[in-house]
Amino acid sequence: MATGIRDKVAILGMGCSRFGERWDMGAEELMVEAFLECLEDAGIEKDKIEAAWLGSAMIFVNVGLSALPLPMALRLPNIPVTRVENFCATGTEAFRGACYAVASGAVDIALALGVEKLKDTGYGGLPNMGSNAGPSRFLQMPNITAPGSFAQLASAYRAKYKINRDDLKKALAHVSWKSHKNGALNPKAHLRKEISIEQIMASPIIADPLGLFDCCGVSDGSACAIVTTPQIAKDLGKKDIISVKALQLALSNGYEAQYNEWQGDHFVTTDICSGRAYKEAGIREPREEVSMMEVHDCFSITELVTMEDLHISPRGGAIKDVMDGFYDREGGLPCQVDGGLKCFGHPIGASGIRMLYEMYLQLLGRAGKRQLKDPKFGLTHNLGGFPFMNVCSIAIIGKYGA
Amino acid sequence: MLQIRVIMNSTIEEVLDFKCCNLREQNLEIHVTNTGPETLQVKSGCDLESEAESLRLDYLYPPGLQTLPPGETIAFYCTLDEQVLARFQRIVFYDSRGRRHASDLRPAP
Repeated sequence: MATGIRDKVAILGMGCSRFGERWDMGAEELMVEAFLECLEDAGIEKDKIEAAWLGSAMIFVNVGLSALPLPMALRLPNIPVTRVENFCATGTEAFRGACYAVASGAVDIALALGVEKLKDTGYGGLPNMGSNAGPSRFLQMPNITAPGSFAQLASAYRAKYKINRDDLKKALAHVSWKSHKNGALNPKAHLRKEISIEQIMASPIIADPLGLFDCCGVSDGSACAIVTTPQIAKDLGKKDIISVKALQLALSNGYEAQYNEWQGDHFVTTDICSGRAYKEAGIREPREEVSMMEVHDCFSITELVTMEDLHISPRGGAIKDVMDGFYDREGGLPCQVDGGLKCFGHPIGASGIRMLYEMYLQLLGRAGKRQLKDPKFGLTHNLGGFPFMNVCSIAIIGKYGA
Repeated sequence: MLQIRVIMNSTIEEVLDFKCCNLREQNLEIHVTNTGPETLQVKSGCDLESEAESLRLDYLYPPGLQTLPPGETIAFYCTLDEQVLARFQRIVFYDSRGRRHASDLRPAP
């Protein structure tokens, strides 16, 4: 019987590039920037790495096909490297591959690295994938925009819980305000200035009710992790060991898009995926036991609704929790402590591992001005696609043995 | 009636530059609030005035007429040198019926 990933894999080291409009660097240099930090943190020579996973999504504007860019850029000597892509869950998918390789005993030490360089495209958002998205997806998502689709989620959420527009707008503004406040403390964030609630509320509407600050932008960045077994980590002299508690993935199967039951107000995949993740991690009361989160705040409404799908806020109760400051850095369960996608932007392949990087720093007490008091479990969440058809990934990491 | 608030060298400049195509160096942010009882349509443009001169800013973003219900605020953005703004005492917006809505740039202490 399967026993799950809990405490079978330890994070030996992590690294993260500065995110931003990195005109001075290509994807290869971004990989090197993150990797050098990671390698130093792990305290090993790079020839100890036995396998690697590369996460990169927008291959047609980015590193291209195959996994070759990773071993070429990092000069890793003839090891197996696999490139993965799974929409916005791409980075976490690379991490999952490396963790499973270690947990299976296939290798002792593996690398997961995510990278994306999107600002060179000249787009404020993601480039249009067109038929590159695949024939079935292209048929099911003709002419759709991401803001438009997530604005529909906001409308459906409002309708279901009978929330007036102003109350929802204020809660969405608080979500963004909090992230920018946190991002101002992070030297690796793309945007590092606080924004007032008034500025957020007055900003232009992109797709009603979502305004400029409710939508994240894209960016250039890379993040990576070196993983091994807890025993090897101890043998290498690591004292504070951070281990993987859960790695779960849930993908839509057509239920949301093709049946009538779903009302468009929440993410079916996140609801299911989080239940499995808590079970794998041995968490019974997530609101009390999870110490901090980085969730996929591609749009403010995504973050707000996700709080309910993660079983942290009760159904219809996320607005109250947001306005009470429960998800603020000083609140009961801090969310987007590093600034989130709002301040980092969203280089697709890197985002999932960038989120894990913040949880890792926090657990080791290395988060500087953002440091939380004695966190135990950190949860990361990615959602790729649209409310009606998506890929959801959840990872939970924590102190070994916790 | 419009209430006008000007934010020079706004933090939003970086955000617009980051998220919006070809919308760079928008360092001046102007909040316009409808404090009256009726919905107004506000022109995307304004005049800066002093005793000696006036300057029309007709390149605000977002462009076109903006509908503003009572109590709501809309933000406009543009590029303007801080020293240029310092030459003026008033900022004036116009609604679709041609009415002036002026506000002091340097309110009395």
